[in-house]
Amino acid sequence: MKEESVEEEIANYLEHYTVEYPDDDAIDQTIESLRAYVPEPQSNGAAIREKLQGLLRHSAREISVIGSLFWVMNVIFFICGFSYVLFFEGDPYSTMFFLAPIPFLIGLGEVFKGREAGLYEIELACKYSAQHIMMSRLFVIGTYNFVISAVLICALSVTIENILLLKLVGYWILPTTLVSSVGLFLTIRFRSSITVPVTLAIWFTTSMMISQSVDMKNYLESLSAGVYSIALIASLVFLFLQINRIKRGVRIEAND
Amino acid sequence: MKLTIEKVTKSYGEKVAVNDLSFELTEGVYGFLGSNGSGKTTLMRILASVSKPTSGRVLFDGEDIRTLDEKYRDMLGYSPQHIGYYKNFTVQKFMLYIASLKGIERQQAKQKVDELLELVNLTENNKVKMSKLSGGMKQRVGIAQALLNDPQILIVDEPTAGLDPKERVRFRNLLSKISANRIVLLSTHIVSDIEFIAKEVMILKEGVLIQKESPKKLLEGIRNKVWTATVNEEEVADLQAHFRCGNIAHNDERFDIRLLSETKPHSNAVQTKPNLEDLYLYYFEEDGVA
Ligand SMILES: Nc1ncnc2c1ncn2[C@@H]1O[C@H](COP(=O)(O)OP(=O)(O)O)[C@@H](O)[C@H]1O
Ligand SMILES: [Mg+2]
Repeated sequence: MKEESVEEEIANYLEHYTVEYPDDDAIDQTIESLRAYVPEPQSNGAAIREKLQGLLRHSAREISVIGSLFWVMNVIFFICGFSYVLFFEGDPYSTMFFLAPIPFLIGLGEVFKGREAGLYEIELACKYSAQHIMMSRLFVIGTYNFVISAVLICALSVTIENILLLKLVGYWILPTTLVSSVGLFLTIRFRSSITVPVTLAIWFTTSMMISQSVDMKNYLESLSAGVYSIALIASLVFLFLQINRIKRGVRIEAND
Repeated sequence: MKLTIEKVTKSYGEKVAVNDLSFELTEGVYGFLGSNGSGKTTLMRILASVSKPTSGRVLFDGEDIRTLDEKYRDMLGYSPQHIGYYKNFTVQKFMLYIASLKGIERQQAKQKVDELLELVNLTENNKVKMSKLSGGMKQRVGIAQALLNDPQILIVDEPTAGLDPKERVRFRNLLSKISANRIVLLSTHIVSDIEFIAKEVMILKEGVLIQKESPKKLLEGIRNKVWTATVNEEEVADLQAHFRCGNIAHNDERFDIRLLSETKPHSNAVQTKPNLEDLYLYYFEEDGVA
């Protein structure tokens, strides 16, 4: 058989299969019936409220998972700090400065506990996945850090005469956000069993050095409010980026 | 219910752990069989949505499991190869913790935990610390937690590694009890684990799926290739050098040897009925082949 006649035959054959274009009614009908499967857009407020409720519920559960050592140790640290200022005439500002980020740094070990314990595999496969868990734990330790710092600030401002509240707050917020975000940055990437002790050690030495050196302190205190604000905003943005990273999901291995 | 694996590849740097796999799973038990490093864990982690494929995708009833996200995980039970736990957790606390991650209400969870610990025979150990459990007990906790949400897809990675023979039998019975109306995937490098319970055996080799068949069909494929012979010591060495050999047993002064061969390997060799051990030998033991 010649090639052309084959082609012709196929063409004839295909003629039988004219495809009719669906009319507008049919299209509309299809769209209408599909509409049932499109989720109703939630109002913004309701969605946020739901998220917040979820976070609180998960956080309540995670409180029981966080080791008691974490809670106790930090309270002891803060009581020691307070006693140091009260009974040994320690400088309240340096003490606040030194203590500020410690609960968060120690808490990072708890946030990443699942990854280290090998439970992460199971957590990742659950309905409320490891991201939820880590976010709620971050929320818990962040809140805890905030609360005991606030308690210390109140205690100091009540017991120490002539204390400058604003200065105290200044000595608290910047190290908290800055050091916390760096700690988080490192712990996302490396094992918390390494990053937690290392960041703590680095923080101990640098904060000691700063509080021992009069020059350093004078220099820091001479910085304008503008510079302070910029540093604060930068470290808040950095912190936010790290938290967002966790929200998207920290994988077990770099190439997972 | 259908799980579709579509051109799934996973590489770690240069290493291709799972290579362009495509297949479909429906209700029933599937056994992944493969030697160490053949890609079983990699594949199961992808199916459990714990790991992302480098390319390709996994569909549940036609929808990408990445899109289903939480909905998919809600239907999933996964027991990894190594069960991790928090040090201070007892068995019961561990189970309740996982239950809450699966979104099960507290009251219901308690009941479900008791029920499942009963099923895996750990009721008496529910107050024991996870760190005090034997390997086999941990595996059973692994299975129990995977079942908490009554999953439609159950993925169990090497459930029988580290179990003694008695525990293995118990596990097989447990699995056949729980496998109705689900897609059950289990991986093993031990053939007898799946011989009688798997609807299909999937043989993975270096990340490639080389067989997906019912055990019966697979065995038919090597029907005329399994031989036994009673030979002397020198002949054993000779046969081992030229054929894939399985069991060798003493028989008075001589030896009974089981081996694979396309043709009659020895004058007194007789054909025998193949089992999955032979199949494993057929696919995985390359050495000794002339
Ligand atoms: N995270 C990883 N990084 C690098 N290589 C990996 C990783 N996970 C698995 N592999 C490699 O992929 C291959 C398949 O491993 P795996 O899936 O664990 O096999 P199996 O479970 O069958 O023993 C192995 O060669 C292993 O070394
Ligand atoms: Mg494995």
